[in-house]
Amino acid sequence: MIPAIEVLDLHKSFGPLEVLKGIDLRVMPREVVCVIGPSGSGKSTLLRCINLLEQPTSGRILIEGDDITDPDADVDRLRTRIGMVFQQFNLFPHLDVLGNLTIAQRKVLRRSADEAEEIGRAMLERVGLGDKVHEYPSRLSGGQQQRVAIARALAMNPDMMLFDEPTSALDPELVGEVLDVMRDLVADGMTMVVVTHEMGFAKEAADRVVFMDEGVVVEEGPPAQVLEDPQTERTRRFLRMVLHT
Amino acid sequence: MNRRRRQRLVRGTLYGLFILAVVSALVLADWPAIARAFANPELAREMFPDVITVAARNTILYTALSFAFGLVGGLVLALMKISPIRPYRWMAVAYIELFRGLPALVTIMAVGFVVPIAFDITVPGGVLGKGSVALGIVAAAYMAETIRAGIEAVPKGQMEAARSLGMSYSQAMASIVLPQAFRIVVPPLTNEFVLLLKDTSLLFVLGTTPLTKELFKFGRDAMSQNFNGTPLTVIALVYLAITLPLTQLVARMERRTAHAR
Repeated sequence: MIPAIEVLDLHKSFGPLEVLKGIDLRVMPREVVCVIGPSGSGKSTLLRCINLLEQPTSGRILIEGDDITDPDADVDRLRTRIGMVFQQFNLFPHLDVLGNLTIAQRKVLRRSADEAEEIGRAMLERVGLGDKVHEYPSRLSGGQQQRVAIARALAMNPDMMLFDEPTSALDPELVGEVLDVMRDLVADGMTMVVVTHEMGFAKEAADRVVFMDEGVVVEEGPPAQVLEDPQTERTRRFLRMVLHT
Repeated sequence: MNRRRRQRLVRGTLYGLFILAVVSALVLADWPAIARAFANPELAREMFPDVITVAARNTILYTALSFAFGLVGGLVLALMKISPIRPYRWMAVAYIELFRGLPALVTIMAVGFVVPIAFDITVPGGVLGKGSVALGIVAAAYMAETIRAGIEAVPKGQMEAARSLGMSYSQAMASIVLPQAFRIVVPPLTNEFVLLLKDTSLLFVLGTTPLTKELFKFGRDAMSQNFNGTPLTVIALVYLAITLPLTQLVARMERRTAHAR
């Protein structure tokens, strides 16, 4: 079986600062991988390299076997297979909710207005916001905005989803509704890479947990092992810190 | 004397001086002479309807066309200036620095008189064509900086979200970033429109005919024909009648978009 995502010896530097120091990661179809680690460990940069929002300094990234880092790759086309959800939601404030969901379907996938709208409405139902179709993003709560952002990514029928700290910008009482939507995606068999600080979610939903620190993967394995019986001192120290705050 | 009383005293003195200046100007002015030279009702009446149907109409026409040219040019320059391709950036910077540095009058005369001699071609459309091309060239340089600032004020996440959905750079720019940028730059662009409107008063150097006169030339000719300043008053009021509603409209638009956000 071809891996959904294969990252090979990925390096990324910002000027003199080396943020990723040789990452190897393989995500199989339908697999859910949670990436944890202290801030500045490079986990967000890793995620942003996977769909080439950041240009890797060296290394290769294969999306379902296609090399997205190849200079001849049709990056725009490959990105339609990868949905991405951002910490700050990044909804388009000048479009209503349905407009947010349909614009890329129409411009990129060339779907008709009717078809895009039908799919858009279906995705909003799926995240429980069927009644917010014509609302503008600024009138929604953070949790609702993030659910719209998830629906917007799903409307492109991606093969996999990347989540970059999807609940970190939310008020605590709004985290649950977003995690619920993500749990539904896991149940549907979506391939997911989730950068998160939600250890509870990682424990129950992940097939595999990856612990990163200072630009390298320190430890990876099933959540029961990495989160409950960590093999390295760095992982233990990190977990002590997050679980005690 | 405590601090607050001292502040009140200073402010009171300033108000007093201001009122004194206004009152003495009103008293010292030679009102009958002003009325004779600048507010002759009969002369003012004679200027109508041409001051509106010809002069104001031409001024608005020149302004609108220059603004359209400037907007297109400014957008292209702004996109060049934020381009990752270095020669594009250099070209945009050179253009902007050149035409911001030159007086508009020089550019107008260059388009009107230098281009025909140097290249043996004339910009078509008479004063309207030459004038709006020249003013459009100047306006583009100013608008480029405004539009660039507007684009850069749109959060980076907007472009990233659009790209992550598979949009190309130009698709994302056109349907996600620019619509938001334009909302931001409406007030400064209106300011640019008002400046352009006033700059159309320079177009007389291109040699206007009775039918292509804009407001300022129209007023100036009427002044020299009658040896009287009343036309100046009339065109000043017409200029204000155009610009004031415009700035009010923008203020209202700003309030409304602020509300929607």
